[in-house]
Amino acid sequence: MEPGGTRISQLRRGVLEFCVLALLGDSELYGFDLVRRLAEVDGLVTSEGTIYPLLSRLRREGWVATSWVESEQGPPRRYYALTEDGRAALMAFCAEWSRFRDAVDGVLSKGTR
Amino acid sequence: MQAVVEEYLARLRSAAWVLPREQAEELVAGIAEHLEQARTSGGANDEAAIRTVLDRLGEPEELVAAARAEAPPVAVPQWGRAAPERPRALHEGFAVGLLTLGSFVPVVGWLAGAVLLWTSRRWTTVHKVVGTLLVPGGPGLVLLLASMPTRTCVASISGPIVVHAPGAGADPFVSSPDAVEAQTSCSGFALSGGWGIAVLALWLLAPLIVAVWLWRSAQTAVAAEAPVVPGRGPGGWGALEVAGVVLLCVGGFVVPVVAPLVGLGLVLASSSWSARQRNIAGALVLVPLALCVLLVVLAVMTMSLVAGVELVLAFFGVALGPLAAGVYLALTLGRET
Repeated sequence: MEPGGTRISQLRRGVLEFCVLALLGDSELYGFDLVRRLAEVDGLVTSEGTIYPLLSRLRREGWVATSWVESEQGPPRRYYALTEDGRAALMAFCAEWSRFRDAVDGVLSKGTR
Repeated sequence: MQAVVEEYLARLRSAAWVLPREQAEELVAGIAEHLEQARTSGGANDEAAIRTVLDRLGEPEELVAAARAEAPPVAVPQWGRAAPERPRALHEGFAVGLLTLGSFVPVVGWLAGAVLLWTSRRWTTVHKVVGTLLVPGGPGLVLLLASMPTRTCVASISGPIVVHAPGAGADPFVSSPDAVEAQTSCSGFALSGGWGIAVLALWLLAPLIVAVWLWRSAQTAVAAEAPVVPGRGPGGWGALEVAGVVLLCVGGFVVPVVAPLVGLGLVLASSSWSARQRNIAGALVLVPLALCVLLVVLAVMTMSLVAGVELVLAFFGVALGPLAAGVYLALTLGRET
């Protein structure tokens, strides 16, 4: 896929972080489980590995907190959780997204009539 | 099967060279953890399954491109650490160490600590004055003074004294068989046992308590500071910097005075340290040196022989001041302390 990607992939990139926040909003998750759940949603993720840099950025921004959990089978695993700031950002996005989605749906349906 | 994973991770590591080191390590660690989990709980037990997982992860180049897109804007890949990190109170740690432990190095050690104390930006004037007055010279000086006698008692015996000279290599000795009177006269001042120990303990404890107080104040001050991106000067660790630091650290023991001064010159010419750091290093080298010169001049002027103590002091000043400067510079290169 070329650097810019198709328009859909650009849209995807914009909303993916909020999908991640939403999944973490339900419960704390290990990286692997988070990626698996995202992958289950059709059309949301192309390269699963790109979730990890996204998680790093969310952590740097303070929307996601990580903790290390000891594991019997080897090195400690990273556990991701939503922070208060992250939750606030997610709720703000949800409100905007509803309006945006309805607006775009409305225009598109008129346009294709 | 493990070889496939190792090969992928190797490709990822090498593609990630363009990222700041901390981010690169984080990315590789996250992917490695993902692959480990895929194997243990994800049921990817044979090569085909692993390859599927790797395909779904994406090509290493894609992951690195995504990491670059997420990274804070950094124009040029930087050597070493580029992520902002908590500033550390290295300068103040050095000062506290020199004021306490360094005071066991006569004069110079405590002086070096005092220089760093006064040039700190994290301590207020109150801190600095207290740190200097309690106790000048530090615990080392206190112990040194405590070991010197301040009270001498002389016992005098009146009566004939016989000197025996047995010869044949034995030492002559004195006896006073008809001692009439024994008198003891004491001069000087000493506190009686209990008091003396109490005062000594106080003078030893005070600098230690002050040191702890200074250290904690520095930590509090540092905690309130914004994260700092440790920038490397245009030079970083070049030949100039290495030569300068080496000459400062060990040159004083090999070619006194000259080598450390040359080292200082090299350091001053380098652009890898801030002006402030260079000034501090200069003070650490030149102040003890000036003191030694003063000592020598005084000895010559008063025509007194340079005793062992003064020689030792002179040696330390000439070699250990620069050593402290060299270590300080080595630890603080490229970092604002």
